[in-house]
Amino acid sequence: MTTEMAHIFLTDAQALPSACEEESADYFAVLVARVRAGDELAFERIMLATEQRVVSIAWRMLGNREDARDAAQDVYLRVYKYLERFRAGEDFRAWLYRVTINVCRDFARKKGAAGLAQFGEIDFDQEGEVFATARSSNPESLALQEQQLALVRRALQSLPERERAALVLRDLEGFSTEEVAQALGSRPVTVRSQVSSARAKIRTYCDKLTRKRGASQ
Amino acid sequence: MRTLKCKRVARMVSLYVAGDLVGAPERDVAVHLAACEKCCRLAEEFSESSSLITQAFTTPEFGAEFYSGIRHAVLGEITRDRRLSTPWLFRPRWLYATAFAAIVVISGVMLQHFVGSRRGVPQDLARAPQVTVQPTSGSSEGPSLRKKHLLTGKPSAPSSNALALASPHGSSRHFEGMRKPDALVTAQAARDGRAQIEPAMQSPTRVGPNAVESVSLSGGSSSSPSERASGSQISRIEIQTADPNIRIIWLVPRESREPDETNHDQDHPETSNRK
Repeated sequence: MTTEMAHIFLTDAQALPSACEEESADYFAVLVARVRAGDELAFERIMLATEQRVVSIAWRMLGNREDARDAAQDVYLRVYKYLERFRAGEDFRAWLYRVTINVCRDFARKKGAAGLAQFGEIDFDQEGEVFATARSSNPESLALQEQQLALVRRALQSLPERERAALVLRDLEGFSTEEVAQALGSRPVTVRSQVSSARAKIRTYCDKLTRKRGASQ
Repeated sequence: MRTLKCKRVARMVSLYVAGDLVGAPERDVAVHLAACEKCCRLAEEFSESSSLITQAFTTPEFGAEFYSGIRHAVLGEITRDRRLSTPWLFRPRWLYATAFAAIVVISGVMLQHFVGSRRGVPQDLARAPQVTVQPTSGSSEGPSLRKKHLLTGKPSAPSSNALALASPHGSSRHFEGMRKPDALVTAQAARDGRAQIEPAMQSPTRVGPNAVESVSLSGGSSSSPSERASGSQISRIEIQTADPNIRIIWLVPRESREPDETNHDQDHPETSNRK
């Protein structure tokens, strides 16, 4: 990784925008123009700048590592293929996240209902870091907390696609409502309504299951 | 200050907890929550579930190899696609455009040819008139031959007859370069036979019953004196136009001209147009 980065910066450091400009929209505009001209190195720079966010969204939407990796690859291949459709002046990152959400939707549909039902039980336990911060010395409270987290994942997975995407981008990725609206191609009012509805459903879902378990015990 | 009802606050409290409300709505909800214990508990639940969501979906560290694997796979796929992609000249959209253009050009040429063939019948006639002179028995035709429109064989048949010139003795000559205009054919033929055909028609005795002599003329201009044999015979000149349905038939007596018969110039070649 370090070698590749060094190679990239040594070979094309003068022509490409510097790393400190990465947050600006012009940075991506320059890279997109270079990719359109056939520069694969510029496309690699785009991937380097955005891959963590893309993988994170894919993982949160799909729930496991392998699907997130496949989805991220598909996202970048789709971006490369349809880069000509990207209009100048548009926010590249919003467009990229929209592609990511669409790819994740396609993946979820391919997996089908059976695959989605296992969302709360798969791979999250393998990502040990998820629970590293929540670990406590008391095994009983740890088990209870893990149950709650599994419930939340399952609750998120039970949401309609649009509400799930809005909640992931707004609450988990930390985008503003306007940014989420841009990424999803809808209005901020709609996003606010979707997010509000999603939160209420998750709270209700968790509340119901908690009460049910409390009654059974 | 306006106070909100609990039902309305319940719809707004999730937005309030996440900081989505600004301005007056935020203030109204805050005032209501300070006064309403039930809505305050609801807000706490939303806050807890929100923190649970964040906790449950904390992105793990995937590692540098994970990301480099994605990059290598993508760039490898792109390179492979580039290598396999066909040149732009043979991409489907160019292929379709070329095929469409070819179809349009061919259609245009065919249409032009068709229209030209429809309009250009006189031109073709001028280019390649075909004249056939066939012997005609005077006795068989009789006096009524004068203005009779003769209908000759089938439309496809005459063209072959017109190309071959049969001599009186059975020999045949082929002529090429038939390029005389039809008007010249008519003029030539009129000059040669106008004065003779009228008496020939009117005097059946001049036409020999055993006339078998046959001469074909090419372009109407190649009639030689030998072809206008003397005697009481009538030569039938058939001018086959390019249109197989149109044949001009002219009856020409073979005998020598008589001065007193040159006045009968009113009789012109008759055109039989068969469709």
